[in-house]
Amino acid sequence: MRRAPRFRIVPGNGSLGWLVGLGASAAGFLAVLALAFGLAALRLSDSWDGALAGAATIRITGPEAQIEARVAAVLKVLDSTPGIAEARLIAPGEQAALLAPWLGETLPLQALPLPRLVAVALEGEGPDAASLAHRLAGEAPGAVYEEHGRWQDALSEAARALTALSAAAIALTFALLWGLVALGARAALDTHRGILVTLRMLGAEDAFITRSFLRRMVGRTVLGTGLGTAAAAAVLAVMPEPDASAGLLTGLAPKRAEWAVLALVPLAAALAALIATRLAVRRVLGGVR
Amino acid sequence: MHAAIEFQEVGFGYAPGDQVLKGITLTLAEGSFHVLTGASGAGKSTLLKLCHLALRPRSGRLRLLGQDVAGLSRSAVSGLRRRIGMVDQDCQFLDHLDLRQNLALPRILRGDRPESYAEDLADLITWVGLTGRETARPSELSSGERQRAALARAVIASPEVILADEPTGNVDARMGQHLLSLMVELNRLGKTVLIATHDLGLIRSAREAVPVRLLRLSGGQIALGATL
Repeated sequence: MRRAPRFRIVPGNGSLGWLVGLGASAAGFLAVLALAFGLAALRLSDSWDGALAGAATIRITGPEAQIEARVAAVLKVLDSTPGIAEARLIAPGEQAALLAPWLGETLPLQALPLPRLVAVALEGEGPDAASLAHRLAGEAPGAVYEEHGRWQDALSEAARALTALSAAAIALTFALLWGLVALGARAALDTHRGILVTLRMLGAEDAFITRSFLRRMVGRTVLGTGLGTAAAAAVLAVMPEPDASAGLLTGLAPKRAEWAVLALVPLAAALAALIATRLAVRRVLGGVR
Repeated sequence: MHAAIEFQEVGFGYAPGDQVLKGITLTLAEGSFHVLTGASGAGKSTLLKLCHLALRPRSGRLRLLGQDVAGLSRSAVSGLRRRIGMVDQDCQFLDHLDLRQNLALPRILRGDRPESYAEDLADLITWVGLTGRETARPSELSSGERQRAALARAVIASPEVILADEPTGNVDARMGQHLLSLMVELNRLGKTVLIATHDLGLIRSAREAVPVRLLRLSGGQIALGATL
């Protein structure tokens, strides 16, 4: 392996080098945001899974005069139903707090004929839904058993779609970066073709020439994506804290170890630049004896 | 004695049907000193470029330092070129590097550390009369200075074979004799030298210094033992 000389065998590329650096910065910035979006979607999916799995709700409606009796009947039925770990009547205040994000805090909810809700924690496989529905219909007409699991598939699919969207955005960003680096390398090689020929005539190995070009192109790309990553990380760091009501919109900032995942962006960009430049150099070198 | 360069029925043309060299058979023994003469366009530069692997024979067989050039890998070509110093008429340099850095390139390509060649570099720069021009860019050098620099670069890595195409074409007679004495000294150290030149004075001086085999290229063929 030849030692690196103390001066640059390949000269700088002037504005072309800066252009590659600038493009790499933009690519790094966008890739990190897309990655953060994907990680947030995965987190949201996990939290949805956690919140929905093993839970159910019983919605109780009916005439005002009979509602308390129906609630008591429902709790009694649940108490004797296998597969129910816990059943808890949601207090009107708690119910109002749940609806506040959607309806506002000033609306007099107590004036509305809202159904009463019983939160049910399931154990094991949960109850036989058909049997429970049959019993509720007999003991407490107007009570409807709703397993949250039926929302789970749709939400998981939505989360998967968001994650796939993020992956596609990252792939596109890297494809653009690849194209930019490959074009930059080709332009640099065309500009410095004389250097390449002279080096070959002096007995330079292809690997030495490739390394000389790689150093500059990969260096620019890593510097650019590093700056873009740092800028995107700074933006993510000042994003608002996660808020259940806003969901994905406020939960974009990575959590703990996820910050380290962002560092993969400049590394992946370096790898892409390395391969793209190597292929470009190899193609041009093929035309030089 | 082994052959440093061996042509066997080598033919070459730049275009189909064109024959610059026609079935040349020639052996340059290791440590020999050859001078190649011939009219302009006779193919002297072409023959030297074949010896430097810048061109490949169309027909016949060419062996350089014991290796058949047919089917050589790119790495093997690089390895051979590092063993052959070439001074061509173009004198191509890397324009962004200064003279000293350009002259050091063959040593860098060999993997040498700067401290191992600094003294050789200084000696060579003095020998070719470029003292004080070390930091000049190639574009700042005159054609004569470029030619001297090209010779210094060709020999700095102590190659086994030195090829020189009109090495004194752009320098005055005194400097021409001086450059020739460098090649003569290297030949005495066992290097094989092949010079293509029109300079009769240079040929006479070389013959006075070392046993020189004169080759004349005419009509695409070599006449051995030609006279001036």
